[in-house]
Amino acid sequence: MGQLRADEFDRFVAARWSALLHLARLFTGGDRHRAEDLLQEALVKLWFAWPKVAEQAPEAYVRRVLARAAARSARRRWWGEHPVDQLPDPPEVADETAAVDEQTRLEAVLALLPARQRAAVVLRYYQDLPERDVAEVLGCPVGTARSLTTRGVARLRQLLAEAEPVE
Amino acid sequence: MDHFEQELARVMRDSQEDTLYEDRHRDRLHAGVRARRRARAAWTATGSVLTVAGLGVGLMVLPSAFAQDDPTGPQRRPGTPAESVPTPSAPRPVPTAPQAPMPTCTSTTRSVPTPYRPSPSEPPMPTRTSPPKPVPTPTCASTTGPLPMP
Repeated sequence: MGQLRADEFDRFVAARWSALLHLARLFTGGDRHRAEDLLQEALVKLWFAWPKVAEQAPEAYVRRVLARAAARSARRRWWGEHPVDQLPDPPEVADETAAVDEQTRLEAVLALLPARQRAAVVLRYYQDLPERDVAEVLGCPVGTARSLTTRGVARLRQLLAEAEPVE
Repeated sequence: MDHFEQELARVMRDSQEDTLYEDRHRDRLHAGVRARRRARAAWTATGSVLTVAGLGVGLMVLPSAFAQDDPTGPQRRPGTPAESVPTPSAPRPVPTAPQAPMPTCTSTTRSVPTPYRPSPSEPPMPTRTSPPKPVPTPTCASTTGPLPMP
């Protein structure tokens, strides 16, 4: 019974590891190590909830844990963010491919957003969730989720316009 | 969704890298599960110990507290006259047969078969020529048995 549970859990994690790690990375504004820590924390919680959520939506459970943990961790002192007026130096164009450059620029501007705005934007545009589901994942009213998303996108638009367009 | 939002969604999706779930990830995850399980066991054990300790202290303290507050006898309720303090009464007969009428305590006029005996403290009854009238006495009429004799 326990071995069966462990096998099912391992299969799920192995199948979804890449997508979940990318989601965690977006939630953390591109911090790979922090993303791995967040995902590890969420998967440990999933292990104990596995008998209840395995037949339903384990990925939605992990997504909710990740989003809330990312928003919470931004309030911790050791994970404090410091908004800056100027964007960090972009990588040298000649050294990186266009895709990596694009990704790096996106992560750099995402890191400048407040954590809840960043989570709302990622859930809305990367996960393509409707506003009601974004609100449910973040544990806030729909109006708050809509406001977080709108402000986050407006801030991203401003930051990217100051640097370079996304494309 | 305008052009900027579409581009934002596209860049977010395109930037996903294929990352393998390696052995070090699995080992780290299993170690995290074991650590969480130990922490939960420790919390459960601590909670049980605290619960047992709390119950023990409560069982030791509460009886002594009750002993200090224990009244020496039945106390009257405030505002209740002394005459109204209930006194123990004889138990009422319990009907045994179903559908039997409940015995009711009524004040009826019945002829008591025992002769009247005046108590020494009462004044003597005036002598009459007529036979003695029935004395109204509160009785507990029961249909199932004879009247209880005082």
